[in-house]
Amino acid sequence: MIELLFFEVLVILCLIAAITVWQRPGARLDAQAAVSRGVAPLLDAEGDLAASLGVPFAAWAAIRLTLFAVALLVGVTSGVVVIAVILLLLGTLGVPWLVEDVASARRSRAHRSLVATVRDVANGLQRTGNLDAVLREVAQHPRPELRDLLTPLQTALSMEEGLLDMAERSRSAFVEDVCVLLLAGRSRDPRELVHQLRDQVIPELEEDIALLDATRAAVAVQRRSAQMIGAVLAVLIGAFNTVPVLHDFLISVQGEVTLVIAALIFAGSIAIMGALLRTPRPARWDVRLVRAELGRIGRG
Amino acid sequence: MAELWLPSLLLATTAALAGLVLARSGALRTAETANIRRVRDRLVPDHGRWAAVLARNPMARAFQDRFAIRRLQLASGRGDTQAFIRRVVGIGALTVAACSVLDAVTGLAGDGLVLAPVWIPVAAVGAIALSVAGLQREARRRREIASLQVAKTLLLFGLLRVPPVHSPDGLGPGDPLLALARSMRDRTLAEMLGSDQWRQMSDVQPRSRAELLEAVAAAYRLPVLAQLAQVVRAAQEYGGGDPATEYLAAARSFTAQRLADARVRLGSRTITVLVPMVGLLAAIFVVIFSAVAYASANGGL
Repeated sequence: MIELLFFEVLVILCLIAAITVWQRPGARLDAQAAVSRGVAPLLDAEGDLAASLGVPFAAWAAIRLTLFAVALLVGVTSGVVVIAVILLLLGTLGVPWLVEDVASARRSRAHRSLVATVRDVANGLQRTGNLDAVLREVAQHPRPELRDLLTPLQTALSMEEGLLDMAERSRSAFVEDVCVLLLAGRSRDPRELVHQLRDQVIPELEEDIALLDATRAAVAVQRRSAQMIGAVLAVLIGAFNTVPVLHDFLISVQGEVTLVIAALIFAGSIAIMGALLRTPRPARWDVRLVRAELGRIGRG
Repeated sequence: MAELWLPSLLLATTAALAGLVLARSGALRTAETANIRRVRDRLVPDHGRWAAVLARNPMARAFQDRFAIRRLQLASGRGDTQAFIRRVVGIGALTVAACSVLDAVTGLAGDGLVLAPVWIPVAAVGAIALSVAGLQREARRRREIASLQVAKTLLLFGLLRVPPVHSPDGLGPGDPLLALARSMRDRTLAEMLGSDQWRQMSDVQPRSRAELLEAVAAAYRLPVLAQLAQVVRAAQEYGGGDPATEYLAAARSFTAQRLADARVRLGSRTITVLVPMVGLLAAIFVVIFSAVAYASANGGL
C-alpha cells in the first residue's frame, strides 16, 4: 500500500509539472534579468522618496543604512528575538511609511510653488512673447521650494534640454506634466499660449493639486493616528522590558507569540487602512519619448 | 478511506492525462480524419476553433455572459476566452493535485488525511473563484490606469490643436493618441490601443473618428475615451467651437469629476477606517492582558 501511495505522489507531481509546462510553454526566464527587474522598482521608489524629501540619493542610502544599524543594535540589546525582528522590519520596510507624510507635504508645497511659477511664466510671456527667455528669467529667481528643481533651466544649453532635465530630476508625475505642457507650448503662438495657460491649464493644475491634497489629508490623519498608537505600544513594550517578571514574559514562548500576534494585528490594521484609502498611482510620462512624439505630432 | 479514494484519483488523473496526450497527438483518429484535421488546423486559427466550441456550449455561454469574461480578459490584457478556460482548468487541476499530494504525504506518514476528499473539489472551486476575482481586479486596475492616461493626453491635444486619431479605419502608430500612449512609462493604454483586439467586442465598422473612439471605449469600458469621442464629434465633425478649448475643457471636467469622486469616497470612508483603528488599539490590549496574565501566573509583579 505504501509503495502504491508513493507511486501516486510521484505521478501527481509529474502531472503538476506537465500542467505547469503546458500553461507556460515559453517561460524561460533569465534569473539575472528577473532579479534586476525585481530590484529596479525598489530602487526607483527609494529614489522618488529621497527626491520628495529633498535628500540626495547617496545621503538617503546612508540614512537607511544607519537606521538599519540602529534598529539592529536596539533589537539585540533588548534581548528579545521578536522585538529585534520587528525593529529590523521597521528600520527597513517601515521607514517609507514613517516619512511619507513629510515627503508628501514637501511635494505639495513644491507643486503649489510650481503652479505659481507657471502663472509667472504666463505673465512674462504676455510681456515678452518668448517662452524660452521667460523660463530662463523665472529660473534665475526661483521660489525657495523650487531652487534645486529649476537649476537645469539656468544651466542647460537649450531650454528643451533644461525642461527634460528638470522633469527627470523631479521624479514627480506633476512636475513631469508641467514640463511636458511647457515643451508642447514652445511650438505654439505665444499669445494663444498665454490665453490657454491662464484659462485652462493653470486652473486644471490647481484642481490636480486639490485632488492630491484631499487624498493626502485623509491618509495623513490615519497614518498619524497609527504612528501615535505604535509609539504608545513601543513605550509600553520598552517599559515591560525593564521589569524582570515582564522581561521573562517577553522572552518566553508565550510572550513571543503574543508579540507576533500584536505585530500582525497592527500591520494588518495598517494594511486595511491603506487599502481603504488607496489612490491610483499617477500616470507618468517618459519625457524623452514624449519630446520626440511631440515633435512628430507638431509637424503632422 | 485513503486506500479507496487515492488509487481512484490516480486512475482518473492518469486516464485523463493519457487521453489528453493521445487526443493531442492524433492517435485516436483514423488516417483520413487526421489528414482532414491537419488541413483544418492549417486553415482555421486555433483560437477560432476554441471560440466556436465555447460558443456552441450553452453553459460556457451563460458563464461568459454572467461574468463578461471576454470583456474582462480583454481589459486585463490576458488574451481571449480560450486563455481564460486554460487558466481555469489549470488552476482547478493544480489545486486538486496539490490537495491530493498533501493527503498522500500525510497518508504515507501514517497521520491519516488532512483534507477530507469532499473538500478537494470545494478547494478547486474556491481557487477558481479567486482567479475570477483576480481577473476582475486586474481589469479594474488597468481601466483605471488607462483612464488616467487618456485624461493626461487631453491637455496636449488642446495645446497642440491636433485630433487624437486621423482615420476611422483604426488606430495606427501615426495617430497622436497612440503615439502619446506609447510615450507613457506604463504601457497599459498603448497595449489597449495598439492591438485590434477591441474589434472582438464590436461588430460595427466605425464610419467616423468619433465612432472609432466610441467603439474602443465601449470594448474596454473606458468612459473618458467615450468623452473624448464626444469632444471629437462636437469639435471636428459637427464643426462646433474651438477644438483646443473643447479638449482643454474636457480635461478640466475629468479632473473636477475625479476630485468630486475622491471627496465622496474619502468622506464615506472616514467612518469605515475607524474599524482597523480599533485593531491598532487591540494590539496594545493583547500585549497588556497577556503580560498581566503571565505575571499573575508567576507570582505577580
